[in-house]
Amino acid sequence: MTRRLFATLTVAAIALAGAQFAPAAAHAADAGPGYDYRGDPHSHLGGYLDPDGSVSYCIDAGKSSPLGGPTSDEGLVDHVNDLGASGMRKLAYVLLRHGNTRDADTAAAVALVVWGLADPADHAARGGDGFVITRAPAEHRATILELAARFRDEAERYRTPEPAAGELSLTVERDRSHAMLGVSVSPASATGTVELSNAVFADTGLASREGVADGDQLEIDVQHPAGAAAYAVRAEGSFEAVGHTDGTVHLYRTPGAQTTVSAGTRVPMAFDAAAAVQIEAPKTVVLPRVAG
Amino acid sequence: MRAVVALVLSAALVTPAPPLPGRGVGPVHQGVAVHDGVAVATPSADELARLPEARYDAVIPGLDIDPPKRFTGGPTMILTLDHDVALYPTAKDHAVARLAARNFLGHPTVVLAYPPRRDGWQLVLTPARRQLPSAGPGAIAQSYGWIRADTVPTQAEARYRVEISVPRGRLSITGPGGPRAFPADVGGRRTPTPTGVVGYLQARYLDPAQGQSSHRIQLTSLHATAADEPYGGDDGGLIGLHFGSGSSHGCVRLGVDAIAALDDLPLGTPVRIVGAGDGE
Repeated sequence: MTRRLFATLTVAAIALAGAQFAPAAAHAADAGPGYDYRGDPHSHLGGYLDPDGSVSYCIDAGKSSPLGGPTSDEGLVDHVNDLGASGMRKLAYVLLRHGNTRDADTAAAVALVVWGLADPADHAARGGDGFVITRAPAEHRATILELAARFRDEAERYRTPEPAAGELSLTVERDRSHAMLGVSVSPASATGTVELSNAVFADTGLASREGVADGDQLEIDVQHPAGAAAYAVRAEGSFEAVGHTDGTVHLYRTPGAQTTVSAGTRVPMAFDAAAAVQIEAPKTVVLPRVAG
Repeated sequence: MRAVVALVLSAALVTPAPPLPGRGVGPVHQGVAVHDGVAVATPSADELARLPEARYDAVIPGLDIDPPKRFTGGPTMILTLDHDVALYPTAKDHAVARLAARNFLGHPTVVLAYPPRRDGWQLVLTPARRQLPSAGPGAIAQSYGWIRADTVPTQAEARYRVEISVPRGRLSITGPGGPRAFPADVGGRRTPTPTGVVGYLQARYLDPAQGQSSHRIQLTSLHATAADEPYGGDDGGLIGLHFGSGSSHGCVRLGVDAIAALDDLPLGTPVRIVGAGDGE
């Protein structure tokens, strides 16, 4: 490799890395899901569409709409306004759990919750939910407020979950031809795929099964490998639960206008679990032949 | 031509059987038992596992072929095994075989024995042979071995007896409920049913391959003495009590009622076969 080529590649690598991690170039914020007061997009209750398709929400109650302005992508942040750790966790949770929506009612409810969390004083000073809700059609207001109340309740009760984990258990019946697979996973919402070795699920005849969940008790037919005196029946599962937030949000700034935030990083909750049991093949009974 | 066939048959009868598992295993010594006040070696668990199994198709030269003459009482004790048990010859100086905890069906092995002696030794009837008829004179239908009585705690007195009279062609069952008798067909002239011997019911099973799909074969511990395998195969010339009629190859052929009656008897029940010289 020539020195010039090496230098060229190095520059290209640095440029790529820069594109990856540096704030993106300014863009114009687009109107997202929600409602405009009397058709005015600058009096919007809802979210704004980011270049990556995610939906961001205003954290500065009372400021001008970011629509049309040059908006810059500030990347992931773990602190906005004067929010402490608890407030940030709630904000990040609501955005991650409900923010990326195309439903106008949901987006309007998230906007109310975000204002209330990130800029509570200004939000309250401007009449709070009761005032801003008037931007939505009257027939949608009750629904939006109910959703907002639910999201607030969820955020209040949200705690960072324990690491996801689970156990599989195999119980072989006395005849050595049948077994029971037990599933115990946490969080209980986790589901996964289980692959069997030397066995199939009794109801499908297949060695693989999707949608396996906590508390399942699944019957298994053992398949004795020909010629094997002893062998293992194995169950190997890959499970995944809805990920949780790491407390970050994605920040967008528009000079002179509202700052908006969208969902931050989702921490995956995936884990594997396995079980195995050693089985001795049933002995073939050779019946003695009598003299006759 | 007939002479040639006879010669071929004769050669076949005296051809030694292929070696069986366990042959050539030497005596093992470990642990302590007592015989006539003298310490007797007993095998460890590993050594016991390496001993030849005294099963229905085994030939174990170290076994006894006849109970001692002074040991006059009949075998009356039914033993149910829950672990392997070492078998000793009369000299009791070393174990020569073992009774496996489970038989060929995977069920607990049941054997018949004489009552335990005061010194703790007990003579049991085994499912194995001591010698093949083709090996020369001395092969009898039933083999014996000694065990330590305290190694088999599950012992019960036999409540029934089965007796087969070859001359009369009759099978009798005595015990609770009174005697019952059934017609029985026995071995032909060339393949006679062994007589003057006591064995026991060791297992019962259906086997369509032997034409017995409805009435269970009652397998005894007895073996043919006229030939190694009167009906061919390599299972040990086993004497069975089974459904059928007509002259047999040594087995006892019975009607449905007799098989049903035998089905009700405990495994281990003594089976005596008597001939013309046995008081018949």
